[in-house]
Amino acid sequence: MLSEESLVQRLSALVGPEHVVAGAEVSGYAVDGKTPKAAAFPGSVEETSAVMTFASAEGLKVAPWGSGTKIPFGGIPERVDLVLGLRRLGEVVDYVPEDMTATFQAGTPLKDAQAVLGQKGQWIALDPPHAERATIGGVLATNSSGPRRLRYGSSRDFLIAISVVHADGKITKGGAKVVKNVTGYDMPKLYIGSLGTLGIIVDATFRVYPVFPVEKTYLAPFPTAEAEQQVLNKLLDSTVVPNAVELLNPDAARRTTAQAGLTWQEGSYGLAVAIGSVPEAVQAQIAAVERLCREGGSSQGHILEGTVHHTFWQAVGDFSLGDGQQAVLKASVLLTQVAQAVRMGEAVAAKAGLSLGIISEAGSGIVRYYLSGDRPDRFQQGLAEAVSTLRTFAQATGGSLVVLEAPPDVKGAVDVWGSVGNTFPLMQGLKDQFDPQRILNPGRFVGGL
Amino acid sequence: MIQDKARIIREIEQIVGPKGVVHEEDELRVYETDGLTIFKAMPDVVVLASTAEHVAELVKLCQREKIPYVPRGAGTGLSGGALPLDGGVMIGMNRMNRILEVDYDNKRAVVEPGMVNVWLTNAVGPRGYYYAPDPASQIACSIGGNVSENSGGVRTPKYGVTTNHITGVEVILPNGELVSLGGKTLDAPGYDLLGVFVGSEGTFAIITKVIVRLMRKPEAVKTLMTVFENLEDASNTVSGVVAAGIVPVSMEMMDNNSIVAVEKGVGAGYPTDAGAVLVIEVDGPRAEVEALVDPIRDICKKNNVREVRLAKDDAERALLWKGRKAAFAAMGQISPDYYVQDAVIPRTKLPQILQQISKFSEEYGLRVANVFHAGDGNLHPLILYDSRNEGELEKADEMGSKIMKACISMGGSITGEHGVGREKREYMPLMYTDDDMEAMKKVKRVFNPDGILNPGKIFPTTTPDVKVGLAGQRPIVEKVVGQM
Amino acid sequence: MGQPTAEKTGARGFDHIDPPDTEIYLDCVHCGFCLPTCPTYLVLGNEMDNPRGRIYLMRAVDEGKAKITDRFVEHMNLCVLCRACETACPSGVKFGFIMEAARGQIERNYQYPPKERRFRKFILDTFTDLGRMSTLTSLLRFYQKLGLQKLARSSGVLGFFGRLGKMEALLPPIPDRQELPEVMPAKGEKRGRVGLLMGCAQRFFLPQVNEATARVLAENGFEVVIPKDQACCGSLLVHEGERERGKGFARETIDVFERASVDFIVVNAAGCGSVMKEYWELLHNDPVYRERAEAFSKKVRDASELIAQADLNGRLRELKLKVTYHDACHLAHGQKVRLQPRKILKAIPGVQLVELAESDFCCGSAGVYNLLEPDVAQKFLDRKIDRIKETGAEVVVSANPGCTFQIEKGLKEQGLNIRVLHPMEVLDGAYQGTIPPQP
Repeated sequence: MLSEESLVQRLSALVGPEHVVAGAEVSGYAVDGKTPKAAAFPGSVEETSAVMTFASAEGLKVAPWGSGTKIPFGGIPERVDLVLGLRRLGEVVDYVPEDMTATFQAGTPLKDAQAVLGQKGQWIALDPPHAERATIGGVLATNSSGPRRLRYGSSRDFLIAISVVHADGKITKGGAKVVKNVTGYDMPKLYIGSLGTLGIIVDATFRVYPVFPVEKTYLAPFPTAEAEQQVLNKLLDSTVVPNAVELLNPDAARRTTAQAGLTWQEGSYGLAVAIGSVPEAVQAQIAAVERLCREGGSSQGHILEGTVHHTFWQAVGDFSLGDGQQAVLKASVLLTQVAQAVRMGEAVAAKAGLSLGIISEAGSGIVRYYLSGDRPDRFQQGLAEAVSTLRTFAQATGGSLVVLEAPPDVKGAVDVWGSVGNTFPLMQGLKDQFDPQRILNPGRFVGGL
Repeated sequence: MIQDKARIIREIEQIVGPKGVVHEEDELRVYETDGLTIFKAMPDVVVLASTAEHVAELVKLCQREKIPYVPRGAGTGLSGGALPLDGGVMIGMNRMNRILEVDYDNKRAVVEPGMVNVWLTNAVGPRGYYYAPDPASQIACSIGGNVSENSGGVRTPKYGVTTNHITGVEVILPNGELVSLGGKTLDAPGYDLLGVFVGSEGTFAIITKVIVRLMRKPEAVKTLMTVFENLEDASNTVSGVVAAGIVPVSMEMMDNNSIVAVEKGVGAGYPTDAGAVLVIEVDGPRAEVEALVDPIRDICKKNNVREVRLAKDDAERALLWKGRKAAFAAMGQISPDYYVQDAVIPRTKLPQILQQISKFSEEYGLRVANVFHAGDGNLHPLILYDSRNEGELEKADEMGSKIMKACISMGGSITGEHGVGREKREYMPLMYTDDDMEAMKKVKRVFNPDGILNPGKIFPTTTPDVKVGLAGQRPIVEKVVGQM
Repeated sequence: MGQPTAEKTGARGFDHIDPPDTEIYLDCVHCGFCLPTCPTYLVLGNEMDNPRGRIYLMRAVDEGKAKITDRFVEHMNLCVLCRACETACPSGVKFGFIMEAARGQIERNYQYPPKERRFRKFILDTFTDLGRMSTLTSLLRFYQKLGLQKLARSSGVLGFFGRLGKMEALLPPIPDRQELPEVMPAKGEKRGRVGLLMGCAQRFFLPQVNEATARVLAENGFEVVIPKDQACCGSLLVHEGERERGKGFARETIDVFERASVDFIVVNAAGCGSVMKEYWELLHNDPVYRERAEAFSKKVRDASELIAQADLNGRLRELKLKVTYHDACHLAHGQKVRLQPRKILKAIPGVQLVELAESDFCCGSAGVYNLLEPDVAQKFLDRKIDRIKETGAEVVVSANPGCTFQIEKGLKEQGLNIRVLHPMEVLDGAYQGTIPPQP
């Protein structure tokens, strides 16, 4: 094993001494409490490749790092020797507005990419949590998405090409910079959500979309989640084309509306329906949504636009309970089971004495549970129960539940990912093929891959 | 060989019954080619499966005997993907053609792989739903084939391709095991096996069930047939629409040769003296759709449009689309044979590539009919030839490769929706390095470690680990290498 | 194998008499659009039993790569010749012509097993020979009236007769025949003089349809000539590949109607009409008849085609009926007549027309297909009856005698009390004020 001194020396030779962090400073790059020996920040794809070639020759366990917003994701790593920081890979590689395709390096903050595209009235149709800080590479590696996936899908629906540095330093690309392509296997999809365990994403090409002339939201208070489910079913069966349909439990609704400066009736569930189109179509559809909500038992709702609209959705994306120990769980269920999933979450949280915020991308069947507690002993046990109960419920109809964020001691006590059934041998096979030495984020992915 | 073949056939008959087996040469012949007739290769046996259990048993038999095998759906593919290059067993999936479940509330349908694409839309249409991907061959092609090729269609500019509409598949792996990738819900944990499976051209596993997204029919649809004197004006119109921030459902273009063939074949109402017809469709909420029509008209006018005809009802709309979708199939009206290309270019390169194609056409003395998905830059130049004339097929083949190369040099792709299959495997290196392809082969090795499922496809060199053919008699490697 | 292959042509496997036209099968681009429209493919699920596969097999024989073998014959004969594939084909492949030609080749160049040969001969001879038909129907009427049919059916004795037993099952109760006059005058303003083809099966088993047709034509201003000397039109023979014998009947039919000097020849049996409209193709090599056949074919009209050309004459009374319409293959695909019968039905007060799903999917009758290939035909029939049940109609309207027998048999098998009537019978019923009673 290399000494820390020679490790820093070797890395400095590859990326320049000013781009290597070691010693006390490196504790800021700990993953689930595991502190690396060093962090290196390559300035190009070639340097990234060189670092990986080096890491693979030395058997160093590598954790890729964008802006760090998703570092709590996944299981506890077996070991972290080297953090590979991608923040210097921040270039716009290629952007042809008329072709509606754009290529960015992985370390580019999503916000910066959106700013470049926004000048031409376009955007990458992704609005993940922490969108202010998240990088393109991190968003892809964690398959992070937000409310507007209802309209556009998630990364897998518009990532058209990708470049990856493999464990052995080889650089490969998959896909093509055209909006339709079936040449060879669809490799970009393989890396989405793989948490850096198959390779390091270094650039990504997206099919981009025009920004809507107008987007507004109808936010309605409901007495129960069941009433919202009924309205959701009707809404999805109607010709309204929403950008997002978000269901919030009373706590989440209270906090997000407060941030947006709206009044909110205590104890009400919220249903937020965002509509984007030309002004006349937005107006007509907002009216249709309002009608459906009122018929479904909602009291008078809010029409959000302009700054309030923006602040509300940002509050949804950055949602946090803000005190004590925290965990975020994400369930994927059938569209018709959202209310049930909300009820189950409320029941387990109440039993375990935990605070609970729920934000659900209801039109996509995604339910996010934000749990917090002030007594660490009870939190750990309560969370384990919540994971087990909610996972059993989701899996019964083919869904899933994963722990997105939790303190390391809690993560150690639960299975973060849940079983992937008889597809596991295939996943293990992929890991063996792509990273036979297990140097990329070992232990953090499903089944301890 | 016959002795052993007889034993294999007996075993197969025990699995599917005698009515599911075809093995006499005068019947097998019909399975020697698919929608791309320039390639022909006959299997030793065709087995028509009716259940997932049949498939599993057949796959295990092939695995045990090291017999290469290949799945086939409706045989409408255009890249030779269902060709049994090494003889062996062909597993026909067309009898597994049922719609198993329609779940409107959860917006999903579960179907068997042999189900014909359009049947699903026909079945859910009355309830206000449809299945979005609509390849031109949708009246005949099967969903299993669509998943394998990641088929496109004419709605892709707005609604994407097959992969965007598949949420799960159930497959039989080459080891005979049945696994489900994805399901009715989204975001299954772990690697996106479903994502990489769609478009794997039948080289990973055999599909026995598909779960698809059902889409709600839009409130309003408007279809405009726009007529131009030449392809350039039509191409500029496409760029204009994109630049205006409009995302139409479709933008489909046809040149004069195509227009003439279609008019002879189905009489869609396209003017036969036009240089180009561009069909533009927008859909969505009524107010949105109505707000889009005038801007599109204005863009057309700026580009010297001769006529803009707005389909006045569903019948006229259907006829305009019937014409477009029949374009390939109608080529028999103007030529005995055609060879279709499927390259993609960035949309802004349309005028350049069309000039190139017309130059090649003159150079080779072969007519070209251009039909394409202009909205996503996916070209379908149909090279018209007559195989009875000595050397014409070879000329068509050579011209096709020139078109592909020109597209790649403009930053495009060799295939947008038909797949690489047998046809374009030698062209893979135009787009990908050895390392790029090695990464793909790693995935293939995970699913199909012995390479006996659908050998000889996608990659320029065939899998060297296939050793033997039907009943140990057929030296595969030599034969395939000999073809290279 | 596996390389782009330019076809090499060997010795042709067809003889020189009327082989399938090379130019027609070269129109096929192997796209497969025809597959889901082909009844045998949907039921059997084999590539050999769909139009694309059949064309491929024909081409292989034509190019000398294959021979006329048992298997070849099996797949050619399994085709119902419904021509649904022609409707679906964007390249305009005239499948019916090449299939009939291929069957002609089979008749000449293939030796059926003796039993099969005798059966085919019996069927074709009987249905195309008016003398034999007359004797047969008299015997059958006698047999039915004596109650022997019931006895024979319940005793299972028919099983001994194999496919002939199945044929018996198809027979409707045979009504007593009324002689139609040789000329029926037009009512009201005369719109033309038409000749009526009596058909073979129609004349003997469904004489009421001819009577209704004649009355409807007269009511709508047509003078109807019913030549007594007309014989079989030859359609069954042409479908089954006996083209030479078929040509003889065609010439005779042309002669008869030429003598009658009519403006149109009206046919109420879709299978007959389809072939008569294509006499021009059948006789295109006949120097004497070529032009006459062309002129003749141009004058042929299905009864509903002619009637629907103008508004209906006369007083239509209300018929309270829920009906559904079955598209006979040889009308919908063979003659492209789909809208006219529906238009007529919709014009009758009180008639509610419910569309039949898969209305143009073959019922399995297909000339004498249900006799020659009973098992496959039964599968088509079951599918047809299922669709009929879904409509809830009291009457199925069918414009082809073969379909009528077949569907009646299917309905009877399932104990369904649904009538099968010809469009002309329903229209005639509206003029009479009631549909004809169950015979």
